[in-house]
Amino acid sequence: MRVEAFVFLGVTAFFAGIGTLYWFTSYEDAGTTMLVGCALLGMLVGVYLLRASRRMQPRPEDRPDAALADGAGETAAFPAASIWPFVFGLGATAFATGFVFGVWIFVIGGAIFALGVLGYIAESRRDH
Amino acid sequence: MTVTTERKAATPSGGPPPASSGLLRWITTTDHKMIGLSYIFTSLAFFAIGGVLALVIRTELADPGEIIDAETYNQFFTMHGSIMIYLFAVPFGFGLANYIVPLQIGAPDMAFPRLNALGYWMYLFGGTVMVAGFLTAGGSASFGWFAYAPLSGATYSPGIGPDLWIIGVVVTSTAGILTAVNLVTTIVMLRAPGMTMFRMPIFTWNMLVVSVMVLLAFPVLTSALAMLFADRRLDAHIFDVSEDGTPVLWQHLFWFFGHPEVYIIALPFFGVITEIIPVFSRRPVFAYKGLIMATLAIGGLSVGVWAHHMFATGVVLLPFFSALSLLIAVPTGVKFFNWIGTMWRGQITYSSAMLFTIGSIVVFLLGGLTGVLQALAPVDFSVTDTYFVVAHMHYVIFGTAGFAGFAAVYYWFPKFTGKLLDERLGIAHFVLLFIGVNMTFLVQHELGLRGMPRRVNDYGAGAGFTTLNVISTIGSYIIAVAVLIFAINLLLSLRKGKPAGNDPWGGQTLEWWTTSPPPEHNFDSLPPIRSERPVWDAHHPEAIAFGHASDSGNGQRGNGQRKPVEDAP
Repeated sequence: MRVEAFVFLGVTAFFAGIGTLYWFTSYEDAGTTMLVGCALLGMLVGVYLLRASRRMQPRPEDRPDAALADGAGETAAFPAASIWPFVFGLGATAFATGFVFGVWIFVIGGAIFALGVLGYIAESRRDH
Repeated sequence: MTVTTERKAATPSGGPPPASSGLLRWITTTDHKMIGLSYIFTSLAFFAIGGVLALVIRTELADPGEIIDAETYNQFFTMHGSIMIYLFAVPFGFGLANYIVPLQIGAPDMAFPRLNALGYWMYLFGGTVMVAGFLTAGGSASFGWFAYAPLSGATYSPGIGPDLWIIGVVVTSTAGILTAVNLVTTIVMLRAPGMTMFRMPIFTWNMLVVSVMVLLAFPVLTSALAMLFADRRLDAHIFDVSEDGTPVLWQHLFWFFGHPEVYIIALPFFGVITEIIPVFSRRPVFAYKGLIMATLAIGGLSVGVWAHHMFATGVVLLPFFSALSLLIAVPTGVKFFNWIGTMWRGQITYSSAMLFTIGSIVVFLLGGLTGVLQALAPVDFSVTDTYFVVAHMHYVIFGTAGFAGFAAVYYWFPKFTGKLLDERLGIAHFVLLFIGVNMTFLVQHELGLRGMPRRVNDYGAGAGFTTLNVISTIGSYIIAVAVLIFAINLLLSLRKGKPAGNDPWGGQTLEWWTTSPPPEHNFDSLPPIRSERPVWDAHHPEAIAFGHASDSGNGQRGNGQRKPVEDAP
């Protein structure tokens, strides 16, 4: 998992460098803020992955000599079918158009949205 | 019995049992392959809508005089650009990634299948909301696809069409963020044993970099649009200069998204090119790690060049952005070098997929070269907002999402459907498209240099623009015929295409190991993964004995560890 971590830490290093250069050549605040934001985002994921990789043995997918049998066993749960993403997406979009069309669609869209989110979460809890 | 089937079989499936077929199955699906195809089909439908708008625009510009009035014209070019950028190019790449990435890394599905479905639905509904602006009384948004403040404010763009445009882009870009998170997690967590990072196919690598770029860029767009909406509807004054707001802040925020966006469009298709060239040249990819480093460099640099779209504002640091923009040409040039190096001394098969790939390289090269020109501030000052820029960006987009996008369809259609696309129609499609694109856009460089402004619906008869515009318009109709041939080819081949088998091209990466189309759990078996082209290794055990193993990625050439195929499908 170290390579993955270094991809994200590379993001941090690149944007920290370029952000510093940009600030001291332009003193422009919007761009600098966004570049620093990029550096922090890379750090968030990169540090997490690096810590995780230190805590565990290299996974079969990290080892060049791993056999297929090394990865046997259950790795993740994959739901077969679900109506809730559709309801969630429909509700979220309808709710967002409420900002344009007014209160009545806020109510309808919000209700579908809430139903979708609740169904989605309930299904997740049932699966695990 | 192999790993993958155990993985899938061992998982208790939640929710209702999958419906056998039809609408309910589509609405409830969480299968990355079905979602990927839905993305591809939907994005091609939006491509058709955007293309029709483009034809109306070209017809209007064919000669002096108005067929449609200025306001309608503004709406048409705005929606043409918005549809092609937000609803075609990016989702098309994501659709391919959705289908192909889990197959290339030997995974049974994406890491978060329901989140994946949610992303698709938000894209479909968000896109519909954006296009629905045409149905409102005032028509759709008409401020161009980059919605500059203060033009996009409530004063100059009243009505709900622009509001729907903003909501539509917010919802679809949120969908993009969800898909990016999903792709990163899938690539980090669900690779098959032995599939190390430096054995991943280049397309998958590029999608990892693209996903990281989406995570950096799209939230900026979403928040900028929220600010714009607050200005329009909630009496905020963020971009309102009369209340101490700063309109140029919009440009900073927008292009901080907008320039990475160009590479978010391009990189998946650079990946497609890199998948296709080795297969049809019968060679391993040249300098695998160099390509990955080039992709990472492009990804980083592209986020640092946003203000080269803002040279003419006079308030940006020219040397910084000019230098970084010129620098991007280096890793992009490395990629060209690698592609040519892969073809060098290869046994090239000129199938339609390969023809489109070569066309893509040529067209993108022209777009890239004019891009280097515009990185030079003095050149940019004289050509900005002319047709030169229009020509440049169409060469870039056609070179990537256009030609390489079609190449991807010709290459992976057999995997999607189990049938081959018709080669003769494919070649006709390619020839017409190549002629059409160059006829339409090459002359626009000259129009721009002569001073024809973009986004104006009419020009004087004495301006000297007429002949070139007629050529350009004829070219655009040729493109339309080419796309029509493509649509016919899709329909015919779906019904009567020749059966493809698992691996019609002699593929190198894992998606060619499984059946066409793949079963729901993707793989019944996997070959041992000892290089970046495991399927080629499995089909050519003799190569290992001669030390011709394809492991250019890890420097473990001919280590004698390779075993023949464990169990063929």
